[in-house]
Amino acid sequence: MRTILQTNRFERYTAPFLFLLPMIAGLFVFRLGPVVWSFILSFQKYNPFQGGTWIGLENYRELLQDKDFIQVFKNTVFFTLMYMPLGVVSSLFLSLLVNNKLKGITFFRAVYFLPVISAVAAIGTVWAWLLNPLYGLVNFSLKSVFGIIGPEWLGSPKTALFTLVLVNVWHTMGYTMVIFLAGLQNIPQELMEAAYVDGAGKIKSFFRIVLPLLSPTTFFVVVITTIRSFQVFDLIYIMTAPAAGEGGTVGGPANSTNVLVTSIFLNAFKYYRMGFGASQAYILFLIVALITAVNFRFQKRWVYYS
Amino acid sequence: MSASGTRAGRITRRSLHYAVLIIIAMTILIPFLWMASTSLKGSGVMTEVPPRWIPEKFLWGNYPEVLFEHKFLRFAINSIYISLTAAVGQLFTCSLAGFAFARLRFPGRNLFFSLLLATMMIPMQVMIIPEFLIMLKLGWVDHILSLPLIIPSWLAGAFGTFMLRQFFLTIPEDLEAAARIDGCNIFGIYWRIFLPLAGPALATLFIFTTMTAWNDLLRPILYLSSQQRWTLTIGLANFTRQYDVNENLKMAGSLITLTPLVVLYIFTQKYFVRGITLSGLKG
Repeated sequence: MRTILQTNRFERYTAPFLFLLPMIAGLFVFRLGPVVWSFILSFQKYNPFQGGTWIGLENYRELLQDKDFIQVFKNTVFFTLMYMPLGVVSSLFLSLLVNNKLKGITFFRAVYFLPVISAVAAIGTVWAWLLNPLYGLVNFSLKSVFGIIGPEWLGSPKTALFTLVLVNVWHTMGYTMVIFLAGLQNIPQELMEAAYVDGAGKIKSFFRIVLPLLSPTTFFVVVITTIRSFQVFDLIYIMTAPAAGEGGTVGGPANSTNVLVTSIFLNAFKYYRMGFGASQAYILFLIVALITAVNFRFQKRWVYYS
Repeated sequence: MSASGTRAGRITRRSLHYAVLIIIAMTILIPFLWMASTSLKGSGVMTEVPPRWIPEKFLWGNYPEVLFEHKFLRFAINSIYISLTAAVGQLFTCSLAGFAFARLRFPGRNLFFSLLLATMMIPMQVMIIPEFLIMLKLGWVDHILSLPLIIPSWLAGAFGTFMLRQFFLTIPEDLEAAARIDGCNIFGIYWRIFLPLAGPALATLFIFTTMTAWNDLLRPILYLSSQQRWTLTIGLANFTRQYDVNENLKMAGSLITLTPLVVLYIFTQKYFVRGITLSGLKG
């Protein structure tokens, strides 16, 4: 690594730490310290106003038996299993659609990226209105165009979680599109031309050439979308409580949209069961670490790196 | 030659391509347009069937009502204060640390850098409960200057440090040597050579931090209890939870929350895209 010639003792031993002081202080106080403290909390019964008592593995034992938490865990897995493939496929499709030099293509790219920068508070609010079962634009259009009576969307425990999956796909697909686009633009043009010369059609060359060459990007996208879907919070916070009416809690109706992070939030900051919340946060930590580890292990087998 | 290779075939395919592009653009834009349309309607026509795209009467008065009576102007000022303060501070601390990691040799450099990278991989939900307890102990919950939303952003910008370090690694050595001959010490080299050269990287970080702070929801929920300190996101979240507020006003509030960032996005698109894609590295 290139380094500046540090000419005297001060520049060698003191100055670097002056540069780093704010960052290192923050790193310990706001990041590393809390990671350790959170681990300790997960073995405690802790209320911010009464303090904590050591209860060993009790929080974790409760997690395994608690019906609500089992529901939360199922919801989270369902969300991920639905969101990951939908998000990956739709954004791959978008990236293929805009990977060209057609007139106005930069405009379309900019539009597709727009939901990514938009505050979830605002887009959650407008989608809740669009999906209003009685007066929303979506159900009105379904009825007038297709003659279908639309579902209750957020209003029913059967459809609420899947509704959130769809809105989340809409919100994030521009982001993954940009990552796929960068991957596509790394594919050498000659390879595509060679495939055409060999008589491979568009679809054939997509599966034989583009997809294998894109596999490192796809791998990255799969890891990142999976991790993010385990962490979804804002959208659920915005969209589920108002639908339940006054006094309705986040994660409704009937706990059907309560996922890992909303459950951490509710336990820690609404019921002040901070130890219990911390133990759920550590479950999340474990899952995220596992996904990263498993994927990195298997990536060697099915990912093509040139 | 096959039919698809003819001129007519090419034109058909191109039109089809545009048709798909436009349909998808509509699914993206319709929610925003519906938001604008609803925000200008009267509360009496929320339930009208069929719904109208162009309001019969444009009720511009919905906006002053939301801004003043429902205090969205106050929330907007708070959002501006918090996101700009967080972003400017982060430029300083991250560039200082990024410079040291990229260009200086010192004991423990690799250790500290690994710790920094490790914190980027850890989900923030793991740290949020103790962070809240720290803020509580510092007496910063509902702080008059909203410090809990600003100080961690100044002091723990791991992503920004990483990004600027990568940028500083690319600056050629000759520049430093020249500055040395002119009698600069290392602070001078940082301030006069590296910082000015980092313009685009700093702009990317600035935009990214502003956006993150502007759109943040969880920390305002935790740390801002008094209404006069709410940001737009928490203000809007609580607004939508009121029973007696109609959709037209909720949409006006949503549009107010969105507009400043969307305008910024229109003018500085490439920095938005770059910052958000780079931040994907942090998982």
